[in-house]
Amino acid sequence: MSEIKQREEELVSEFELFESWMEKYEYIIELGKELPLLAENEKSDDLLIEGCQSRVWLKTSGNASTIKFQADADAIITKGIIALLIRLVDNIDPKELVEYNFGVVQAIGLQEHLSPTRSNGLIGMIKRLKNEALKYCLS
Amino acid sequence: MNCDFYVFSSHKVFGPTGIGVLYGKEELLDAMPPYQGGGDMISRVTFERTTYNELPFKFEAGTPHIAGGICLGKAFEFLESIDLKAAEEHERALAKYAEDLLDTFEGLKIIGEAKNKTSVVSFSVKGIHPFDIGTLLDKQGIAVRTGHHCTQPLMDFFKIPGTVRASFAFYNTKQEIDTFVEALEKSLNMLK
Repeated sequence: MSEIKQREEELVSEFELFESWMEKYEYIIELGKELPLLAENEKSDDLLIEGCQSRVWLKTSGNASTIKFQADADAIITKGIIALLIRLVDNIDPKELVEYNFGVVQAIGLQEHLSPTRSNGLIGMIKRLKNEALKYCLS
Repeated sequence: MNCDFYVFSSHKVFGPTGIGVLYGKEELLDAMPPYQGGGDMISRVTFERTTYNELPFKFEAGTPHIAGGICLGKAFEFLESIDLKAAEEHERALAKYAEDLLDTFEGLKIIGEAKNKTSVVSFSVKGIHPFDIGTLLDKQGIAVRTGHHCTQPLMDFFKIPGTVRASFAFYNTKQEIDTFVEALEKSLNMLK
């Protein structure tokens, strides 16, 4: 099993423990608080992800075999969601990330965030993660 | 009102989406050239000259939004059937009721306090992004709008990323505002 799939399974079984939407969101909020922050001077406009009502910055580093992410956002739920995604795909082979379909979003019941009217940019975040991975694959 | 032009979207008066109203004074509309060509907007065409049709056809090129027009007419009939003055008073009372309750929240600031504003309450809470409040209210079945509401310069002026906006109509009740305020309290507790 691929590394991402393994992490996805862990996350899904963690989310299965939540009995209410409140528990789930409290957890997402906690994740947002734990996400390593970017320093103010690192938050440049070229790191901003398009299509988010809140501002999300994503910084990437790595090489053709490993890719790493750091992010920050000004809304805590958005930050929690990007933290969730990073937990899945941080420190991973970029090729694996390019091929990953982010089925986790449905599996943990966050598909409502995919609706364009929510405009929290989950689609934008996923696109950006994949694009960054593609860049490292080609480098 | 005696204005030259008056424009609004149908959905603002409970009509369908995809249609709106443009009122203009006849003499002004007569003086204006058509902005778009198409069926029904032309009266007579020869090589020498084209004569445009009369108002309003001159500005209604092509097939009109017939179904939308019929529904919008029904929406006006409905609005005319109710006591608009009583509706306005009720809406005003709802906004006042909501504002009085919101005023008790620590760190909450109501943005927009014009004397004759319509029944909307826009607010921000210190240290909390409006999107987070909107998401948690949504989970509790409360529909509000969040964001900059297309007024970024105003948001920059207030130095906030956006606001949460609750809008009330005459069909809303004080009980619903109580539910909204309870849900807001719960949301803020989760976010603190």
